[in-house]
Amino acid sequence: MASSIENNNEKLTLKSSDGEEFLVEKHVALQSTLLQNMLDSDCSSADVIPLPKIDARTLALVLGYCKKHADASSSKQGELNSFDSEFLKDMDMGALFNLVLAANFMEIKGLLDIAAQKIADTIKDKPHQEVREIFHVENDYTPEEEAAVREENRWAFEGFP
Amino acid sequence: MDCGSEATQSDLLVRLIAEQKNHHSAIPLEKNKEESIAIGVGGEEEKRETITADIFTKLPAKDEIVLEILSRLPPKTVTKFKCVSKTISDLTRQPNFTAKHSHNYKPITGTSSTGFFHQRVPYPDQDVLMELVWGDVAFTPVIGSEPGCLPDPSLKFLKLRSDDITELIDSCNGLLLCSNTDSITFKTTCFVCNPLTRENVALPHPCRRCRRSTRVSYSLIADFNSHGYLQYKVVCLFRPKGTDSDTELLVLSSETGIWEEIEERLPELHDETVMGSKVFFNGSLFWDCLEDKILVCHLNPKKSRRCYDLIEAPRAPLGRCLWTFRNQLLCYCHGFADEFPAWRLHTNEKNEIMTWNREDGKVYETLSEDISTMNSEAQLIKRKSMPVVRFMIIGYNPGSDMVLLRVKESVYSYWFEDRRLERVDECNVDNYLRFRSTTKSCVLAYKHSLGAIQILKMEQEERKYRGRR
Repeated sequence: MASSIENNNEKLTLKSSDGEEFLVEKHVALQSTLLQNMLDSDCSSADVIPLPKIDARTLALVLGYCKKHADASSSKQGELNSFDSEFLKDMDMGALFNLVLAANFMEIKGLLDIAAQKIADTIKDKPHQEVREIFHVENDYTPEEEAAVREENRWAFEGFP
Repeated sequence: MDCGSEATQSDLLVRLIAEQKNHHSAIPLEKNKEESIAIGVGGEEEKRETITADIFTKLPAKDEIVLEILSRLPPKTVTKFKCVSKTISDLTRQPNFTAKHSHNYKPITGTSSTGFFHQRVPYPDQDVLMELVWGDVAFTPVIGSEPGCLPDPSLKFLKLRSDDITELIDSCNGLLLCSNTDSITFKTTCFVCNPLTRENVALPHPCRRCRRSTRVSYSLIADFNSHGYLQYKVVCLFRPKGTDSDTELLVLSSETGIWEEIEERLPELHDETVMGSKVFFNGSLFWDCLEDKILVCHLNPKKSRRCYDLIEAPRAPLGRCLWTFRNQLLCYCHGFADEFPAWRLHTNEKNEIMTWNREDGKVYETLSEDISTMNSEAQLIKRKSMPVVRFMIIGYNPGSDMVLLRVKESVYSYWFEDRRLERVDECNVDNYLRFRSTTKSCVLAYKHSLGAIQILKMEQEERKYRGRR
């Protein structure tokens, strides 16, 4: 990314879905592959970049993550790791889902990794009925079908209720 | 969520979700947030007022997010969650999910292996049939990975009858190459199978003369193709008996499903027809099976390139081990007390000309020494000079300096930087390490892959196509 940072002080404006505007330093914004591609393809950077998928609260979190990772040098990997775990520590499921959505949309690989992993770790040992609630998915199996799928994959339920 | 016990964690989760729901109706900011997702993900600007109570209801990108989360779960959990709904179950069967899972799921930091398949096998030079005793196939997870992480670790699903003999041959990227010998007809069939999904493909015989011959060696290479299916090649080296001792090379590819004989004279097969060290590196198999050459087979040969190459091997009186580290292919040579043991493969830009350079990293020098020390301490035998203990590098993580070694009948992990040597198969010692002198063991490193095997998938696709017509 070094080649892209010609004007380090240049700033861009990002607009969240709920209309809030964020002034961001360019090198911070470059953590997002989406924004990087937009800037590379020379969308006039004076304009406000709307992010219709991301609300202000989530965008603020995302930019906090980007700033930390843009400013830290690669030698401080340990420090970044502890920042990452602290960053997600007390976050609830809803906020985590929003982060995954935002990171996926803005193409911020590191953030996508840690947020999705955090959700995965949380639901890992939960019964599948509870996962229905968490993901808000409807059970579209008939009771017979569900029993058949369960029987077919019986080994995966060993050690679970 | 960092909570102490399981109970409180799930309680908290339920509470958090409830809170989340309440927030949506009570606080304007939360309302906006909900709105934003409904709009953003749907890409439907006009539906600003479609405010749903739950974050996840009716979002087109939901699948994408669920995919991201499920692809980071252990395969056993993914299988369990097939019961959540048909949609989820279908999602986990998609090739783009299985490929994503293989990329995102990291079982244990420091190793790319989930565990080891192993089996007691007779020595290949054993000629008396009565003495041939195969043990059961068994699986030992690397410490830290999930217990019971395979549906059928002894591969019973390959057997027609309970007395059939299943034999491990090779392992690569989630697929196993095995054979099953019928206990009544003594007919042997080779299979490529995925022990996680129990999907298996029977392979045709390479040639009549190869059948039950001890002068045959097989090697398997497999990886995801661009469509997300596990593509494989089986490479077969065969040295016919008699005066004509030229080695024959046959290759079966999952794209064609037939054996093709490579019409060219190969140098002699290594005296010990046991599996030589092999590495899957940059889409090619590097197999140390010939006397003084390394066979390189390409999974996806470019049009201008042959399906295999032979490269000179570094000289090693007592054998070689191949492994990769930080995107470099390394070769460890046994048998030199005073010479440097590690070599690095150097390729030109087009990846065509390959030569071996001495690897000057000091760390490799101590490996043999540490193993010998450990071994002589274990046996409490004092010798004048350090005995050379042969070992085999059977697993490694391309990104870390840790390798998994097989020393005699045990598996160890070794960290080059801090010279740490640890035994990893402690849990299973009694099951397979007590041998009679006529047996050895076959140990294969294995990593999970939920991927569907290419050829079977093609057949299914064809059947579906026919069904539609």
